Amino acid sequence: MVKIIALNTFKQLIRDKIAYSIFLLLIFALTVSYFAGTISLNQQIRLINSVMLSAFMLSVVIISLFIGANIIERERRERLLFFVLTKPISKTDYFIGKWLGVSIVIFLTFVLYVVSYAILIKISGGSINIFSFTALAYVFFEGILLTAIALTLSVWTKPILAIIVFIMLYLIGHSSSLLLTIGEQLNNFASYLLKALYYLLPNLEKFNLRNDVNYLSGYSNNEALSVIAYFVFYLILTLLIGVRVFNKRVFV
Amino acid sequence: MIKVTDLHKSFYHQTEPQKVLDGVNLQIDKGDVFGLVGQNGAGKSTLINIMLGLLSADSGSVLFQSKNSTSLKAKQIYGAMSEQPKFYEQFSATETLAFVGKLYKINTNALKEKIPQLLELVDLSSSANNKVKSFSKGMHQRLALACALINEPKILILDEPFDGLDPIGRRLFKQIILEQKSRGVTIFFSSHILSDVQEICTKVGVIINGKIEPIPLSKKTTKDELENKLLKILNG
Repeated sequence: MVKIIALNTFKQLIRDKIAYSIFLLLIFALTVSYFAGTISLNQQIRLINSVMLSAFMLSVVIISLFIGANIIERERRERLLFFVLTKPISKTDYFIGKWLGVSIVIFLTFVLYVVSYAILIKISGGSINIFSFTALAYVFFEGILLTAIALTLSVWTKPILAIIVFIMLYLIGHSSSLLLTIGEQLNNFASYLLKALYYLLPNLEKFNLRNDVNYLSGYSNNEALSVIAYFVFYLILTLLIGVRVFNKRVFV
Repeated sequence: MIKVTDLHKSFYHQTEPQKVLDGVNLQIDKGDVFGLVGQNGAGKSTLINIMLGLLSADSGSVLFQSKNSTSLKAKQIYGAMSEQPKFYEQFSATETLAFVGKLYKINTNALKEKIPQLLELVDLSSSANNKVKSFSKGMHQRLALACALINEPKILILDEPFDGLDPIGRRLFKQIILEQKSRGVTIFFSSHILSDVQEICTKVGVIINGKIEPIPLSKKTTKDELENKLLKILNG
């Protein structure tokens, strides 16, 4: 059942022309990387790494924010939930299927970026750095975690509030070490609160290799495994919360 | 068989409870066609939404063939059609039916046979590959009925099925409902249109003050008589 909903969601999103905007962003990133690289002094490969990773991150945030936070609410608004949930499918399968469908779109975007990146590096005369692919893969992980967060928020509250909370979580997630630093300078209660937030909210900087991609020769398998374990833990936790909230919600 | 027992539902407006269903009891036997009528806001759609598990009741139960109506087993045996049905607009009628068929775990080969038959039944064959977004309201209704029939249901729940249909469509729908009845399907539908109710129902009830009052019906009951009986109940 999850597979049927996921493939249906994927087809729906592709036909909704989301693919065009992702593709346009990719073309833009390729053009900027290539032409800006040619006029930069011995920095072409670094520039390509930086622009491609940022463009992929932007695509992933756009997909998870504007699709993930809206897709179930849109189906409620358009009475499609009546159409689907009166069929022999559980709410859990529907929720997971929706997440998986959006994740397939992110995966396809990831593949597009990996292939384009490899071609661009070849054209520019550089050698392919495996860590650039690792960095892209981490953004992909972050994207599907963000989608799970956006979906969970969207079934918990109204779309506009879900978007606001999502953006806050995204910003805090990318600067969570600041929470600790600030916490150390505050009184007891605020300090505990910020520490609790630091440990509770996902630290999205763990998926950010954009600044290090050119200097990652020492990146170990253990580090990669710990990031993957961190990702799997938060993903399962978020999906479990989302499923529980969705199962309790009434949609008519 | 459909069995509704002591169903209660209230909605809260600024903490004041407003009872919509106040002890609804109903039994519809196999092969019966039950028509539910009532004024706007009387609770027809609330009852249907509870029957289909889209809303939860405050208390009471709904059983389809002795199975809790919200269970996946019950969902396997009924087909439902909502008031003003909606579909994924970028999909064609064939794709929509294929999606629904897969949710019922009907295999692909069986679907290849079944889908054209259903589209022919509801007179949508010529629009089989057209996107649903180009469909009129009546075509949406036809597609919704085809979706409700794809699993060869034992129970049909139809919310205002004749709404938006032209006279030919209404005649077709009545024929299909009567064919389903002759197959032994138990049918529950809500309608505003008394002539439709009088033509095809074996039982009629009106929802008033949160309860269902049965309206006595015989084969000889005319539409005017039904209307008079209904008005008598509504006016107390």
